[in-house]
Amino acid sequence: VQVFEHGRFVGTNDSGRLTLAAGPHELELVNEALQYRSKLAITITPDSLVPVRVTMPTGTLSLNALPWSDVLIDGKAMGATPLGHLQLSIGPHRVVFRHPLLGEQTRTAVISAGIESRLVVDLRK
Amino acid sequence: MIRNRFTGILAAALTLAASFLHAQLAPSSIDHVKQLYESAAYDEALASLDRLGSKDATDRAVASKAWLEYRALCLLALDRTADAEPVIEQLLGQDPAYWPNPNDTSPRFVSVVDRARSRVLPLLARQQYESAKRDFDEKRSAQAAEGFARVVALLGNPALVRSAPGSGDDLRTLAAGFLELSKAAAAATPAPAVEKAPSRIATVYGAGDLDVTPPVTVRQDLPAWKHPAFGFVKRFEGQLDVIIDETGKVESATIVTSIFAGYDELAVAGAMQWQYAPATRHGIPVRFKKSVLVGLSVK
Repeated sequence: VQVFEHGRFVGTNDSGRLTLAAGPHELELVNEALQYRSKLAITITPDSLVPVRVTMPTGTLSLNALPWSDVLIDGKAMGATPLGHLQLSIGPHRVVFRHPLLGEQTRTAVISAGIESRLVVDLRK
Repeated sequence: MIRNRFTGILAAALTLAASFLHAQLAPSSIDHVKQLYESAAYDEALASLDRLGSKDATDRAVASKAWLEYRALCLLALDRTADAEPVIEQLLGQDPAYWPNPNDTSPRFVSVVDRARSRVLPLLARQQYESAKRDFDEKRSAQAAEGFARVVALLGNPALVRSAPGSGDDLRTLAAGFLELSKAAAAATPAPAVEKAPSRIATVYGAGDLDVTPPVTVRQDLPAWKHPAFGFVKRFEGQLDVIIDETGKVESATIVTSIFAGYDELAVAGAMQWQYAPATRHGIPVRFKKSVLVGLSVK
């Protein structure tokens, strides 16, 4: 996510650490691509590190495979298709469709906040 | 001018009626559901099935195998297994030998069907057995033999044997014993004097006869309707029962629930022209009573 304060870009969470002046701050966390935007109020004390944990929102993913497949998302077994309305945190997820006779196919599903994504593969092709 | 207007309204009405009938009877709507299901749009597929389905769901064309299959699959996808189970039970009630191909079907679905089958088939067999036993007790030996044969066939269904081995063994043994007794009693009973056209009093099978393959529709179109202008969209529904003979021709048609006063007679006349591939029982064509929900949507 990108971090803004009063519309001014401050940094991203990738950098791991942001330097801010001591005192209260109203930050805005933004990821336009994932339609994520939230506000965060913190107070920085002098010469200290203030850890902030942000709970990311979720979106839903519905999956199907032809004729059918087992599904792993980010390495975790989710069961066999058809699978609807799986709750996943926003962002990219690695989805593996696996069939005992037809092999497997891997896709990336990008989940956006509050939006239902769908992913379908035809393992017969 | 007025005549042209009436013709225009009538043409539009017939188009609407035709499209409604198309939606009710043609496979294209199920094709749409299939597309939605395959694209993982499960809520939309269910909504589409709801639109397709009749409210009382007694019409065989609507409560078809595909309709029930997609409904059950969508409910499973949405983790609504408890809602999917009665749908699968209905599917098995229509076709106790129903067995989804495990190569083409999700093991989740196969597993739920297996569980439902192990519940439903013994119950169906028990009901059938009780009915046959009543026939036996009341000396209707031929009907009793047919009923007991159905119980034996139902409990010997390979699908049941695979999903619930041993289930119903006692009942099957009992039914097999009564089957032999019924056959012997039927053989000992002198045949009633046969009057003319004996085939017309032959058994008429129906949706509840589990060992009968239902007729396949070849032609089931309804006559055009010259209706009054309503000024607003209106929908009429009714039910028509037809008895289809062993050649696939309609032997009789009866209005069960009126479609619209004045149209019922036309519908009956039209139904007499319908054509089917006949129902079969053990590969032999049989008479069959089919219920058809008729819908008209007009302006």
